[in-house]
Amino acid sequence: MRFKKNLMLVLGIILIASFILSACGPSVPEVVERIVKEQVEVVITATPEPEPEPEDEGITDFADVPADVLVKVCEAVKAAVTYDDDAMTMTINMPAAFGPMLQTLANGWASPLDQAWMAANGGWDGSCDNWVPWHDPSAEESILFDAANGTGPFKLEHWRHGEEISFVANADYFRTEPIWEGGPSGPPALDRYVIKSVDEWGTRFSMFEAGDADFNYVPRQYAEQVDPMVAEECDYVTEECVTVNPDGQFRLYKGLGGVDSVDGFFNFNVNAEGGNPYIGNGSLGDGIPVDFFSDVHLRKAFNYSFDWAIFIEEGFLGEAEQRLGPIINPMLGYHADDFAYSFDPVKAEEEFKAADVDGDGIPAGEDDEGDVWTEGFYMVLTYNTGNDQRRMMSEILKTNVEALNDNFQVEILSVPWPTYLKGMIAGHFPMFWIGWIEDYHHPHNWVTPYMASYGTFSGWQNFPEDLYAKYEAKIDEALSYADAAKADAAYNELQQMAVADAIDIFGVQASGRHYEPLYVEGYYFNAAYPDPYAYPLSKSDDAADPTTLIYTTIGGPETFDPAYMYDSASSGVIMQLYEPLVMMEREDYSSFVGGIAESWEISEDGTTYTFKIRSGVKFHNGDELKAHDAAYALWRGLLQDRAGGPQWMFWEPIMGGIAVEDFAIELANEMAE
Amino acid sequence: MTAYILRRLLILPVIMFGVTILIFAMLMLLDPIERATLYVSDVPRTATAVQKIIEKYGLNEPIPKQYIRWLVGNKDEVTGEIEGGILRGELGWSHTAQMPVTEAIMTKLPVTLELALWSIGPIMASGIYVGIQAAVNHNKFIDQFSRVFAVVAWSFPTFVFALLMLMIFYSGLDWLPPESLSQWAKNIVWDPTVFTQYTKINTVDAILNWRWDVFLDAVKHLILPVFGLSYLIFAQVMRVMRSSMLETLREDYIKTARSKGLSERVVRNLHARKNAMLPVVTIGGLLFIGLLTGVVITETIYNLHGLGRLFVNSAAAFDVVTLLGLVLFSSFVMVGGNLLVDVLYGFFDPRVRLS
Repeated sequence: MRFKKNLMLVLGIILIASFILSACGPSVPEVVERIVKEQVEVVITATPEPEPEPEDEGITDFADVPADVLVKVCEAVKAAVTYDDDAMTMTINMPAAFGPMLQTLANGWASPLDQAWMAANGGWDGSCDNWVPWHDPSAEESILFDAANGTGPFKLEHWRHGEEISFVANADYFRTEPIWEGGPSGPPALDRYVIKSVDEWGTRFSMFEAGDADFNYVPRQYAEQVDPMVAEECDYVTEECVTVNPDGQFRLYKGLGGVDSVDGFFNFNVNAEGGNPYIGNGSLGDGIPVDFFSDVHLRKAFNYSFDWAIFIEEGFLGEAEQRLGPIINPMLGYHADDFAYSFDPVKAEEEFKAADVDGDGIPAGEDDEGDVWTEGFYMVLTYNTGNDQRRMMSEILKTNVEALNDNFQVEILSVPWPTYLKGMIAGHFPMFWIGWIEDYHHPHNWVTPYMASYGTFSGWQNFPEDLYAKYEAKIDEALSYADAAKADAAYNELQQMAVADAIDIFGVQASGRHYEPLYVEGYYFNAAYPDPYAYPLSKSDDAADPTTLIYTTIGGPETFDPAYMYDSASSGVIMQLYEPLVMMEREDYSSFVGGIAESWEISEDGTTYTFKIRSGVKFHNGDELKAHDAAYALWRGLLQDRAGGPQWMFWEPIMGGIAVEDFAIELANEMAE
Repeated sequence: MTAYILRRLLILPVIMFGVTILIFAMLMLLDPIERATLYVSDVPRTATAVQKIIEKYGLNEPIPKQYIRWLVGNKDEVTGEIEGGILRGELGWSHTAQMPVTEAIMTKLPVTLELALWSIGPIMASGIYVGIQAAVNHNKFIDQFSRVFAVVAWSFPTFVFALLMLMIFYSGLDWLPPESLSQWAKNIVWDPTVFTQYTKINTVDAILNWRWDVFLDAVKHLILPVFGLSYLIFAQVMRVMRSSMLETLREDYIKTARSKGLSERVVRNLHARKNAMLPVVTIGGLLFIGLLTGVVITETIYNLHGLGRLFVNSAAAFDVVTLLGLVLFSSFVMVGGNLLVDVLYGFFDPRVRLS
């Protein structure tokens, strides 16, 4: 007993002493670190057999890229994006035409930044000699993490992390003419706009009801709680309203276009390495083989087993439409009369019987030696915990598939999001549900993630090489067309290919709702900017606080850095603080209105975009915007490029690559040769 | 007693070390891809995104190396400076709170502390008083009523109770709003030119700034969460006090006191109450520690941004750095709180000698 006490005492003293000593200097941690490193290295290097000498692959790590190459990388970026301060122009020179360039620029990632202010506050100064320290930062390492000096209609007042963000009106906002007919101009009507994070629905609802919140995020499953308080239902395009309850207090906009989806993805070649519980024993009967879904008949059978009508009614209160392929409505390549699967048990049975899982050339329905129809199967269908839509999709599919044959068994399993993501990336799931929110409004941003080998979801589906090749050739072809009709035809071909091959169960595209108190005026909806845009909003004098608008929602932004942001909450903040070069029109997403750029020209071959930058625009600190500030924002974004960030969208068209590190490594190896 | 206290304090780092090892080891059982989700806002958009994040944050490095990095810090390849390291007094960056862990704790703690301070007083005072009254009036109305109340309170889930209170007193009557302050008061409190946040505890700072309008607003916002938190804990204290008092009143020395002709009031207040307090001190200390380390449901329903929500959010996000920091903090509070209870024990019962 005494020994234990003494041991505890000694351990405690050692730890306290090391803590105190460490406060006096870094020597103790360094010593500990060195010892540990040595130990770890010993463990790592103590391999029983020497490995063969690796072949010289040149430079493979960005950290090894020589300084002179890094300078050339920066110079290449600057050559691709040039400016002329006298003429107030900025030019983007691309290696090949890229149809969605304006759509990409319309989303704020390249919003002009005050180069002088950035440099003075510890940001990159624009010099090619020293850009690396600002490359691939963590969110908090960017000086724009929680600070802003934009040109947008609002200035940042404060950000209480996880609690609220407050903006105040920018009295010097540059717009003197309405963005759209009847739209606002001049400084914002509101003095203050506040975004509050209130995670609990009951609390958000109470605040909305009490008038302490003017806008409120209402998840679809709670809409029925708010509906009895709706006074009028309005059409956001015509702005015509119908009174539904004279005693109500809210205005409701329904049918707001959505730019996201939720779909089911088949894995053509499941990863069973080290065992895989999601495919049972790996054979028909008590499991499925790894290539189960490489049979197109099975993919079609599952499609015919899914009941969209029930899903739309129960999951979306009837406010959604079945998707006709990867491309959403409305968009180039979307044709409303295209073929779509529908719930049809007879056809589902026919497809199951036509399948040939054992590969003996005999359809399952006629195979006396046994196949999927006679042997049956067992598989696990997963969804991420808390996602009711995916749970519902799983249940619909399970019910309908199991009803076809007593030997068919689908087990539903809910797993936490991290486990779910790992399962998808590692290829463990035979099938998975996931949703896509577009990065920019163009079919390229839909066909790529759904059909290319380098696509986000299709990359996890393990299509055969020839299928990937077929899709990618068509994707490249569609992207090359400047002519809208040709592009439409090419994208529609892709749309139809995806459905004919039944690579996915294309789910639904839901429309949205927006509730607001009757005293709020000027609601602006643009599907490309799903978060509220506060600039056109105002409150009538009978509101409790007519100059402050409070929006309660869940979560919060990751950053205020336009080049870093890649979440919708950050996007909702940045659109108040910054002005993009161009903005999408509300009713026609293929058309644009000027932001910081008052006009633009596109070269005939579609590779050069020249933007005329507005004169007299001021940043929030009073500095005047110059053309180099617009170019600087793009340079900075391209070079900052962080792991998992949005800059691949600019690297692809402007530099013909995907990331600055890969570009630098490639250039270094080319120069070494 | 000094030796006892010193010894307990010296055990603290050992406990902290053990707890962090345990938490760290459990979190490291997760795959690097699972831990990388902390740094991915949504579905990773490019094929290499997750792998790059894993490499950037060293999530695939050997577990001892990751733990040591947390302990001693990490050398920045560009600047050569050592960043972070618990032994250097830096708990690291909280991805969940979007600020350094130390700052996160210091920011969230006053919210939780204010709630705890305003709750623990009424809980203990009313719990002890009603418990004594119930014991003294054994099987009479107040005793029966307190027993029924305790059963009802225990049966009523805090989540439902808190929501109902909010619906009635906020949505319905518009008397008692959620959050820590009204928007107008927040604009004052967060403006350093007109208000100094000495403690970041709104009620205390309002008094120190002589802003009674802010003080009243803060109190108005505290009523519901304090009540929601107190009704359940009050019942617990009251039941313990009642049982302890009943037992004490049957002791021989109480009979002696009565036989000496002392008044019932003197017997109860001077002879019985102090001894009967011992179990209440124990439970009170533990309750206060529980309040300090966060009350998730109350904080969530009333939208208070305290430690409880930070704990839950960081656990849900597998935010290792934040969790470890919070665990260190709660270990410290736990050991310190227990030590305080032990010392108080000695005060209430002189027979207890701390050695």
